[in-house]
Amino acid sequence: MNNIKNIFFIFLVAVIASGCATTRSFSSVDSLNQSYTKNISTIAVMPPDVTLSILTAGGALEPQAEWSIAALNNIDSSLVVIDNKRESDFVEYLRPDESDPIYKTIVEHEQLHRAVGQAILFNKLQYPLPTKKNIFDWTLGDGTKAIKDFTGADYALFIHVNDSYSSGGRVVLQLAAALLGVGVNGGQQAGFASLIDLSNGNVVWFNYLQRGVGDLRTETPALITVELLLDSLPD
Amino acid sequence: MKARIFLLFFALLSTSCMQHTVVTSGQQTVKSFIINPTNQWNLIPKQFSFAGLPAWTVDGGSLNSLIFISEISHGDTLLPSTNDKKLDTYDKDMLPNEIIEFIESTLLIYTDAKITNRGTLRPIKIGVDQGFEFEFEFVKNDEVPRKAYIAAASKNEMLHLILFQATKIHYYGHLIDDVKNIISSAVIKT
Amino acid sequence: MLVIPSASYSFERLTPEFGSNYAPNLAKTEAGLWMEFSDHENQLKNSPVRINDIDLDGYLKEVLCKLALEYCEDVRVYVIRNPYFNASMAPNGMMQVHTGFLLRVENEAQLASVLGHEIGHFLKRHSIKSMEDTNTKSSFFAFLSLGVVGAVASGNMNADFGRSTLDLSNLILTGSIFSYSRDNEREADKYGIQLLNDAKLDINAAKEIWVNLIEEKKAASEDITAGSYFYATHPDPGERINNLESHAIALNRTSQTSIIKNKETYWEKISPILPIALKDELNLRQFEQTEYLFKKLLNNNVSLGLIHFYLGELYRLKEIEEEEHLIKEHYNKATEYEDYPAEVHRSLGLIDYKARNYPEAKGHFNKYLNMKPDAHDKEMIEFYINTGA
Repeated sequence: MNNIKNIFFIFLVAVIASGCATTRSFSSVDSLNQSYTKNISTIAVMPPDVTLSILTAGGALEPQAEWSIAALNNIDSSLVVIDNKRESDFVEYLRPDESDPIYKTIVEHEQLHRAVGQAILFNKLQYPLPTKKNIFDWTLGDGTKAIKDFTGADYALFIHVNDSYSSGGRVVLQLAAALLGVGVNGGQQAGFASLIDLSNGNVVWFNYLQRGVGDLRTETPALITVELLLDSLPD
Repeated sequence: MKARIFLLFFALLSTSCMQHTVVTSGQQTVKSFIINPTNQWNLIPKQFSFAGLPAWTVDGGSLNSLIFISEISHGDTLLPSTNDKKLDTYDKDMLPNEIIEFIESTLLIYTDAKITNRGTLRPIKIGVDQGFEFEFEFVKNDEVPRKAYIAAASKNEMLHLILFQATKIHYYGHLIDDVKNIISSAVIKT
Repeated sequence: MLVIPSASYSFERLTPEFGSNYAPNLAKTEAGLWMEFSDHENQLKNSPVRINDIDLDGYLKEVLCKLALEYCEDVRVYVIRNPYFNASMAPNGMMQVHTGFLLRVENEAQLASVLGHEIGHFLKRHSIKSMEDTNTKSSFFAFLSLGVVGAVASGNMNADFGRSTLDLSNLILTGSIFSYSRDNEREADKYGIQLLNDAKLDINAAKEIWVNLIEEKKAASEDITAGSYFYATHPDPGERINNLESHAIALNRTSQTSIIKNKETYWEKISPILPIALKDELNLRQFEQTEYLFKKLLNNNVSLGLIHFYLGELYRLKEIEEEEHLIKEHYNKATEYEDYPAEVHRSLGLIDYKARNYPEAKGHFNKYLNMKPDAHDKEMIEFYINTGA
């Protein structure tokens, strides 16, 4: 374990020394699609995709159901608290029956959302696309209209959390991976949330869970985390 | 300690700047292609592009990319060979249907991609050169389904092709017209 | 550790590690894996790589239930489009069988022997146990990192790194035929043959799969690539075959064994996936292996038009002068069967066109278009017709 930490540190130094790194503060994206001014009345909360794993001494990632379910529950109850403070409502969203054609549409868009979320992490935050410097136009496309009809909500909130904990605190594997010259394993070690305008599929708000902050395993810290995650979520 | 120094050195060497850069609009040469893109594209750093090939993206490589493959000669593989994968090779006498077989086999072996739906295969010209275009859907394992468009031509017994891939939902449809525009004014260098 | 059976070996039955309708205790590793795989399962179910043939799925489930009995509801089978010989079982009861596997199985008894083997892993919770073993965990992490590097080196056409690492690590997580310790493999083999016998299917089928794979490997000596999981990870089949034979003998002594293979049923149910499975196999460009396999398939007396077509395709792609005559031999043979594919004529057309036999080429291309008026390459074929001198 110590060896791994040392290597991470060395690589971190190397990246900074190479003069190519931007400071890696992954806070929420400020310059989003500012042009939306619609009032948000209802938000369908998609079932959060949450996996919390433990990084063992041997270096294995073991998904922990108990943590993940606790995190899910904590996110749920946090959302209730947050909902009460907000103007717009969270709408409960029930997964349709598998035989219903909308089921496939939803699965496909959830899958697309994961890819879009990863693209935002990878191509906005870590290896930015220069053409998107002042633009934030990532979208799931207007196939989401069918989801809007089904849920009756104007917006959908997606939460993806794949995070790992070790006994000594978080280990951010993605930085090391990036330094090895390979793409960032963003989907595995990132927490992100996005708000989708279901009338056109546009990502109108996106946030990345800052590392080192919060712990989704227990309720009070979880609430803080979720509040932070959804901090700038438009009312 | 020695090991650490070595690692540091190695790390410094390998972390050359891995950032995307803008593709300026206007006529330019990419490998053997002379093309005229609009100003929405970014050049993907070699470390992240497919098979290290020259590739552009609008929204990020995982959502869409335009890949350039040039001057494949008789006996060459489509993609840089790796030790553990034995790839099919190009034959200068291949007809378009056979070139598609060559591409499909390569994609399966190289990246586990399976063609799930075949769109139209038709002859087109790239500049003055007779070639073809082909549209298809594909998927790798259980990843997000994708769609692709290939425009290719054989010139002086070498194969040149441009491959555009994007997520089947939204991004393919969003960019395909722009891609076809690029192809319609593309020329293969003599 | 299981003792290698001796001559006077008597078969002691194995029992499951958990009751049916099982859901794991949340606190343990297992529950984490179950959860992870339920998410994975949802994606897989709806993926284009999943072959969604209701009849075939129904048949596989039927065979599964013959073996798994009261655990029938705990297991679900999915046919996945993948040319490599493999079947895998996730800790949550999700079983995947590859098309490459179905192509190499000769009858229902052989199918059942492998399904039974996988059920054996499941009932004995082998994948959970191997996750809990420290040795496996460290190598798992190394494999995971390798996976990330490998993904880039092999050039993902996208940067979908997060999920693709999980896909690469599937081999270990989901417990394919090839990824367990020797003891676990032996135990699963034993459990499998026990279930096979209980289901009154031919117990000799269990070893046949491995005998056949060895034969195929011999024929494919030129074609070994590391991309094939079989060649990279296959444990020594010799011992395996011996053990299965011993188990069969022991079972024979104490119980009424059967010789039922259900070959015809198997091939009737499999036939819908043949076109895609044969094409994918050929796309691997491992000609010796594929030639061996396709020739063997002729023995089943089903879909002969299709198989002769693909043999023709194989020789066409192989481009060996001495075998050139075999190309047309097989295409012509294919046309003797009622449901031969239209593509026979397309391929004959391409050959004639390249040899500048334009009238013959036109004849074949026109025949192709007549048989398949909505062909996706219609415009291209018409171009050949119009540009042939």
